[in-house]
Amino acid sequence: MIALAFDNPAALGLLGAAAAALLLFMLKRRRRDQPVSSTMLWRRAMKETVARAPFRRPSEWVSLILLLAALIALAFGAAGMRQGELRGDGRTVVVVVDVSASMTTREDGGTRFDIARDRARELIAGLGEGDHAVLIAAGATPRLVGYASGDSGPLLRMLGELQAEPQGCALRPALEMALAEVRRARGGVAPELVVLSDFCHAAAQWEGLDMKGAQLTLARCDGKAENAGIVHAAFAGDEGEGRLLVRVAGIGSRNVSLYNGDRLIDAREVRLATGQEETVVFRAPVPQGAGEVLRLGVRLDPADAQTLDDAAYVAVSRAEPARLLHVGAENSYLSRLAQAIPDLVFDRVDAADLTAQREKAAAPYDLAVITEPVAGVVPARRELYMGCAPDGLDLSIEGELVQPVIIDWERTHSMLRGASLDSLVLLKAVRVKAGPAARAIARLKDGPLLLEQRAPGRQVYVWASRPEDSNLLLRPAFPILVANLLGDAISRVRGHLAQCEAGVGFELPVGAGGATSIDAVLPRGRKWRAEVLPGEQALLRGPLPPGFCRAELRGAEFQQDIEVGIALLDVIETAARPQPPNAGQFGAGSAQVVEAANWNIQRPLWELLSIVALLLLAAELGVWMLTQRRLKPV
Amino acid sequence: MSEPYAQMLTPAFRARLERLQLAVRRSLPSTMRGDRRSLLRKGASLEFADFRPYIEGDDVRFLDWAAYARLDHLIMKLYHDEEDLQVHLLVDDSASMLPDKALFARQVAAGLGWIALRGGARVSAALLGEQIDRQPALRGVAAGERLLQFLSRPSGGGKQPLHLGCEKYANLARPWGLVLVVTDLLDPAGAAGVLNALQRRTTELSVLQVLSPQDLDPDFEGDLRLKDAEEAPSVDISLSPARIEAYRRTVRGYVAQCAELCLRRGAAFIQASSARSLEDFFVLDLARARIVR
Repeated sequence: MIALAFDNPAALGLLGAAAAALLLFMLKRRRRDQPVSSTMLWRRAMKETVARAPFRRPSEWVSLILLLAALIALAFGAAGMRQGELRGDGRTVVVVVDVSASMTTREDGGTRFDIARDRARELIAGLGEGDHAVLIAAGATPRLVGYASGDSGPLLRMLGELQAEPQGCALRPALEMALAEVRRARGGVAPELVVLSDFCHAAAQWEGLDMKGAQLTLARCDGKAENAGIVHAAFAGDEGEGRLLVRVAGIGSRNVSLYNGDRLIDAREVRLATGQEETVVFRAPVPQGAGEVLRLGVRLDPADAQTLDDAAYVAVSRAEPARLLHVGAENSYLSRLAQAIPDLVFDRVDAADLTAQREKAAAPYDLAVITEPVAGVVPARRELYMGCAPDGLDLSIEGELVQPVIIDWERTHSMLRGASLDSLVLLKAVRVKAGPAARAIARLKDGPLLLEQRAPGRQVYVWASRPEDSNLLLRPAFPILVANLLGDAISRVRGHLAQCEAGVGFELPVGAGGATSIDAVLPRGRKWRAEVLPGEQALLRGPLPPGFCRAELRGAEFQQDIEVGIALLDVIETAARPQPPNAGQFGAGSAQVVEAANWNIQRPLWELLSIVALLLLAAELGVWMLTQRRLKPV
Repeated sequence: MSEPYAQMLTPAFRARLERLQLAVRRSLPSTMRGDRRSLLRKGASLEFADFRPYIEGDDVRFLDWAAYARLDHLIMKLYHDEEDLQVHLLVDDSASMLPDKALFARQVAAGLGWIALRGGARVSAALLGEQIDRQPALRGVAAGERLLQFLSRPSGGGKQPLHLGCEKYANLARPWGLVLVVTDLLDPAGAAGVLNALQRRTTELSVLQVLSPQDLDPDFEGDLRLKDAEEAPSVDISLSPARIEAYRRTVRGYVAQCAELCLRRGAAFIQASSARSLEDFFVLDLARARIVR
């Protein structure tokens, strides 16, 4: 049986023109009555016209047939008619389409993804009654796009909406999903598994796959396009300047240019051979003031067949130096925090002098570490009490605990991230009595070790041990814990870069309470919004387009603007010479490797029909001209 | 058509017509003497016309004895003869002549009749329509008004073929002398039908074909049904420039064919458009065709 498919079925409306032409032809021509003195000479003239014409006048029916044939051919041609085999024998076709970044590479017939989608469309459009099709998109995460049984219209529409995206291709999970559909297939005919990809994959993706019972077709969508791209970028900076390291892979000679916004700063040339990577290190500017953000971009010129990997973006920001206040007697271990944490401004004041300090400080400190009881509020955003209780809160010290035992702690809490309390030795601890507003983050056998409490305008943490009663200050955990409490205040010049596939994760500042709203504007103008509760991590899932993402974080007690550069940075998706696996290695019922661009699943007839339509219209014009031939006057 | 007869020929035009005379191209046998002088015919008047060599049988009373004495050749003297000229004006009154051609044709006939009456001829007229409407012979200048009244009668718009009307007239009136037929000749028998019906040894026939601007150069277009005024078959036609040009060729060819036939048969032929100025037609066209002088 012959199946006909149409790329643009709406154009079949042109057949209405053919029907209208036929109707007009069938309707008798309306003629106006024109009185003349005699028709004798008119009749004679018409006979003479016919007698003098070199050709017999074509019948009007000939003209109509030509016109109808031309309109029908034009309608089918404009509708993109294709002819293919109609299956109809209960066959199952599982189509896996690679939607990774490398599929955006331009080849002769369009992008690799366009080629894959065209072949997928032909496969699905060739479904007959009783056939089934399954469409799977193989991206960073495989996705079952849809099913079709007999009626392929909805699945074809879903296929039309599919796009290749800046992400890798987890082909193995996609193939496993496809093989599960293959095994589920019923019917006497072996199901078909068609993989439409450029096969920019690691060989390990294919290992151990059992495709027994399937008819496997690996349709290569790649061509001769050569590609080079940026596969890695990293930024490091200090007060004076920054360094941007860029690694380029692929093939060919390219200029690697560094831009600050739209201004070109530096450029280098790299020459690449297949399998090689070249590293370029740029000296990069850093922001001069706190809150300033530099948008650094690295671009490869000239542009090549795949543009997603031709640019990388890094947002570089600068913060004010973190300020820490120690309230209590001098402690050399605490003083060393100034060395352990870069750019930290460390001040100390005796508990008795706190009032004067309070009046002197122009802005609150980022963190206050209080090791002696004080009255009143400490001028800091966060307060860490060690072995004592804050004033004005429902927290009190009731007795001591000797050789307390730590039983657990919240490892994922923002304060303890990266800080391990293993091997922490506590000689003594105070028993902290806390009200319901306090939350224990770490616990001793007989009470809390670390408490968190919020109050209006205060974030208070209580460590139930004085500095001298444990080895905490000697452990690496302590500066990490202090750094976590300082949060974003601790780093100054930072480069923010994320991978397209991974998305952007937003970390809330330590101690952020209540819901935090995140409003982000992505590259190409898409917007994203989320509400995050304390302890949760907000993730703007990929794949995201390359460019800059700007986000505003708004909490009850803080406000923060973040900008992140997003780039592909994927060496596999930049591969210059993709290689499909050996089709015979999978033990499939039958296996073949085909070139997708030349794989004629359906013969396109629209080209032939368009030519036929033009020829018929030319013939009709010739017939019309013959009947309207001007006679030269004698 | 019912034109006030006084307007058929304006007074100024009548004055112009008085300077014209009908031209007779050959001598016509006549039984009555009239006021018209026949050219180159042996006559009994006192007015000398010309000489010619003696032919056996000539009347010896007219030999020029003086020329014989001088030249020793017998030479005849010719004198103008005064004869009676009959003029028959036949006007095509069929439906195909309506409306413009019919008026022009009647005006032409009226003008020719006026000239003939002032020249002393006897003028008969007939309107050849469904029936034949005859005006018996008139003579004298005063008869001109009666001729005009006759030619101003309403048109019947008949559908009888012209050649049948000519035959009927020929049978009724047995014409001799000048016969002038004013018609559009849009008849299947054409000029041949008129010639066959009216041409005699005793007649000098002139055919005046009148065609309207629409006949000569139609300006309509599109998908038409051409309806014949005399109930001949209609023609469905989609007009195009090529077809109109073909029609014009046919008209020209037909006129040429009629002219050639008349020439061969010794009849005068002239074609005019009904849009032509009457004065120009008489002074220029008829004079050129030697119907008037």
